[in-house]
Amino acid sequence: MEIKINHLTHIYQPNTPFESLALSDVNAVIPSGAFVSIIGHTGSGKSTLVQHFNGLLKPTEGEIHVGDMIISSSTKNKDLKALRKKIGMVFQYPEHQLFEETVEKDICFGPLNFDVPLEEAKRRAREALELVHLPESILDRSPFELSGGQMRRVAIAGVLALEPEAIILDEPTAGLDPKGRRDILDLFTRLHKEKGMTTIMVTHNMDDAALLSDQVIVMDHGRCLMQDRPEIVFSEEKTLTSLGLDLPRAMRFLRKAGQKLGQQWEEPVFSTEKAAETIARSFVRKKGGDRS
Amino acid sequence: MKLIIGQFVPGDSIIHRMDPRAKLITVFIFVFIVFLANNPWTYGFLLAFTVLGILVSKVPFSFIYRGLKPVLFIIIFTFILNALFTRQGDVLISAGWFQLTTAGLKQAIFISIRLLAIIVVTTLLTLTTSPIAITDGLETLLKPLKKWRFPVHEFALMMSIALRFIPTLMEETEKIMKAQMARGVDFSSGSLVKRGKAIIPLLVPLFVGAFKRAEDLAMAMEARGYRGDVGRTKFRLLKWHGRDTGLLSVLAVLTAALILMRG
Ligand SMILES: Nc1ncnc2c1ncn2[C@@H]1O[C@H](COP(=O)(O)OP(=O)(O)O)[C@@H](O)[C@H]1O
Ligand SMILES: [Mg+2]
Repeated sequence: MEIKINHLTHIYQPNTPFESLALSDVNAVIPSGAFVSIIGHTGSGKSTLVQHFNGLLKPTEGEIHVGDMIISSSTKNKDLKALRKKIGMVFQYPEHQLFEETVEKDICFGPLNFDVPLEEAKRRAREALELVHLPESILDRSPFELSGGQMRRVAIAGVLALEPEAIILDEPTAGLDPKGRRDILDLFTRLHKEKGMTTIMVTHNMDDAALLSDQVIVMDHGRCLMQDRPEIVFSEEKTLTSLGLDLPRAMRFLRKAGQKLGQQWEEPVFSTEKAAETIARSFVRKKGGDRS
Repeated sequence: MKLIIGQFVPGDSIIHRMDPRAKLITVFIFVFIVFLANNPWTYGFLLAFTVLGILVSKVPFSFIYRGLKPVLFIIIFTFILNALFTRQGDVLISAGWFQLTTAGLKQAIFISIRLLAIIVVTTLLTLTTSPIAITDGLETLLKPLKKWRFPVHEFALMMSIALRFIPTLMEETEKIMKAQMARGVDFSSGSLVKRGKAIIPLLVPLFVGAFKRAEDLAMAMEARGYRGDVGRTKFRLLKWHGRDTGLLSVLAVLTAALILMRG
């Protein structure tokens, strides 16, 4: 499902002393089946932008095309529910949305709201639980007695049980330990690869943005500064630095190593393997040069 | 966020800069002297004081109006009740059991002005005074009650914590509402029963979060050596200025005028 953003402007609390312009004239396209990361400084409008995709916020100006639906300031609230069924949303700290007595009831909550029959909802709950790598035995427990990482996975299962066509992740790994982080990211990479789910991820982690995504959108002060492949976005080192954004770690390492070794490795490299390869290659070349 | 009572709008007007004690005393006394008014002159004074307050505070009228909207219903309701059930004076309109009299209309207008004046002036206090300043002011003003073992400090602390967390709680509410809306909850339409049910997925996480936050806060305060007001010094010292005496003088003049002019 393609998502197209046309001249999107959003103002919070318009006509009050608290009025704030959160997005101004944003244009971007999220191709169907793509994995798109959104990066930018805190307060740059990332969350505001993605909340438009499933109709949690309506544009002040401009419009958003999601599949064949168009959302503008005049869209009726009741038309937005159909949209929310197609696009799942995992908020920052999604475990804050848990409220039912049992894990099973909580996961079934979403599907039941969209008129999925109970039996089908229960089947989906089991399936979603498997996707997030939690045992079925957890179904009858209270979500509040689980560990932080487990709670988050239950909450994510609650969104996956809606079987959305696209999923939005707003800093899905905030506050998790490294293993928890990896598990969650693996899960979404798998969903994207195997089910072709369109995935939109807001993140502060440049490594994740560089390694996982097909496209990166750079936000700054409510504007979309860039949208391109990660190789291109992360070669704009100056622009990113001026926005207070880092380069991926592998690239930072290569820059430093290059300075010490009197070398320059310009091409963008994101993984540790590629970085090691780049360095090794230049040594091999040097050795070859010495011999001749 | 539609309700603005209890919401502070930072600014630099003379009212913003006044001592919270002066403003608290003024509002407290104003709420009482409102009931002195009983004729067009005196109600005029009340209105003038209120409007003057808004003008001097530089808080836009439109903003106060927006904030009043939720309570406007109560004012209109009182207006209608008074207009309908006062049966003295000349009859203006009469249709069946319905009767509008001059006295009824007058009564309705006066009562509405009373309510409006009280609400606007109280709102103005919270709009122009930061929550912290209000509690500081209250704590100082209530200090004498300590003689009778009233826990003034604890009371002020509770209030400042409550005020401090109103915005946080509102933000939290909005966030959880959005998260549940994304899971198909409809907060704004459907039958009353359905809407009532939609409250549960909102309230449970809100309470869980609030309790957790309270625990964290208690722990953080203890870790920094908090043990009540015994031996505690103040970071912000309240200072009484000429403008504060000025405010009380205006209030005194208003009170005198009300007493002199009331019929
Ligand atoms: N509910 C809200 N009411 C008013 N202003 C808001 C609200 N949410 C966000 N903002 C403001 O909008 C801007 C963008 O915020 P946000 O989209 O949350 O940024 P990000 O997710 O990139 O950190 C910020 O300046 C923020 O203060
Ligand atoms: Mg955000």
